[in-house]
Amino acid sequence: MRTQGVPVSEELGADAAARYDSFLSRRFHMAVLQPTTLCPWDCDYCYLADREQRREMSPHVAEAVAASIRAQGSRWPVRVVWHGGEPLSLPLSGFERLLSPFETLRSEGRVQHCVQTNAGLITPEWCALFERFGFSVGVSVDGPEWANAGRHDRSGRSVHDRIMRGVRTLRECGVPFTTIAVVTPETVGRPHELAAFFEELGTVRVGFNIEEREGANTGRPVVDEEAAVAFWRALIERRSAGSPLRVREVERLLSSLRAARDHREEPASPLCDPVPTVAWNGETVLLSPEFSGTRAPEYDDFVLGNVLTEPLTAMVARAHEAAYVDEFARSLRSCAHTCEFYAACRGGQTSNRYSEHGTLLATETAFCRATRQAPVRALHQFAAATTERT
Amino acid sequence: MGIFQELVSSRSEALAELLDAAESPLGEQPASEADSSPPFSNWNSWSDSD
Repeated sequence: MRTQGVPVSEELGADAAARYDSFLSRRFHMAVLQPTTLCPWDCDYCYLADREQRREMSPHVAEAVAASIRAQGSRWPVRVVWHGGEPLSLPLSGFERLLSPFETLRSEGRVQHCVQTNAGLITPEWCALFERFGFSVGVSVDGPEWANAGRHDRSGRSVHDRIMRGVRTLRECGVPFTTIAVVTPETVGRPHELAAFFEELGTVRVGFNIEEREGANTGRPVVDEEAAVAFWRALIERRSAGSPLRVREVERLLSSLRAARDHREEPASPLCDPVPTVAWNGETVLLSPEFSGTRAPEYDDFVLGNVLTEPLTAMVARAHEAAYVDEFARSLRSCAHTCEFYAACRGGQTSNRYSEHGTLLATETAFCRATRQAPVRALHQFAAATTERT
Repeated sequence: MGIFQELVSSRSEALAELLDAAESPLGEQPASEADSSPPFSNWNSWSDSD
């Protein structure tokens, strides 16, 4: 059975809708937009299959997304995350044309622009645009030069100097930024050196992504689970010793734990964001931006519809009818009922289920073990060690 | 008792100090109050995500 070209759940109706509403929100807090497919770099671990092709979003797509946000009418601002390709490989004037449809919403406090960039193309002119449109800027940098060995341009040349030049420009222009760093089997054993680098960098906060097998990245070795626990424990101990560095995964875990301790009872269940991701041509996937551009014939490539012909709000309203969305809701239910880490995790990443197991019905993934379970184990070790001392 | 629940009841003072300095708890709205605060995301390829 199909609707709008997408295979739909065989268990349609109230059950699928109820499953969805138990775990997933009918409103989105984040919409991911792909202004261009192009990235001038060719990092070893990248999951984007079409990053060598230049396809650019038209303002009509941006207008349709803005109309959807207005129609949703949520109380909180929607975070519009510009994510590539490399978003800054779009000409600055072209990017500004994509921002224009959101200006009324932004002036009303209903949109917050965000961009994730490799920083290689940042100039003072880009910084002025970030400031003018109130951007939250995220930079992808893996650490010192030795940690960026897997990142290079299409000629195979190191890109580290270009990243650092872009970061310097951000700092000189007074643009605050957060960072994400991919932690690979080659770098996971050096947490203190990585942390020291980010403490010096001037980032507001860093997210460490343990390298995953997803999208086009399928052939590299994976990080050993015990190495991941040691990595997170080193960061926790560093934080306890007074490091100013705020690590996304550690902060998130501490926040979950604090909430659980404050309530002393089962915490209320937050709902998962459907995260509509709109490709350059308006095609929209839900649940995981990594699905955009992924070839998956059994799910019609995860494309739920096109924002040029159907508002995002309407797609989310019927999302439970799509087989892959319903499978995810079922897997979240399994996680909630069976996983001892669920209170700290809330269900892991969607795309990893598919990339590792070929189905969204799967529950535990390498992401779960390295990025959700390992920090809990590390904090447990830290608590046990410090309890013994006190 | 699961490992997370053991942390909930841990008496480590060092852990308590970490928790005192932690950022505000994320996404605690009950499902019945879906618009009172935003949903959360586990997506990690944007550096300021939850």
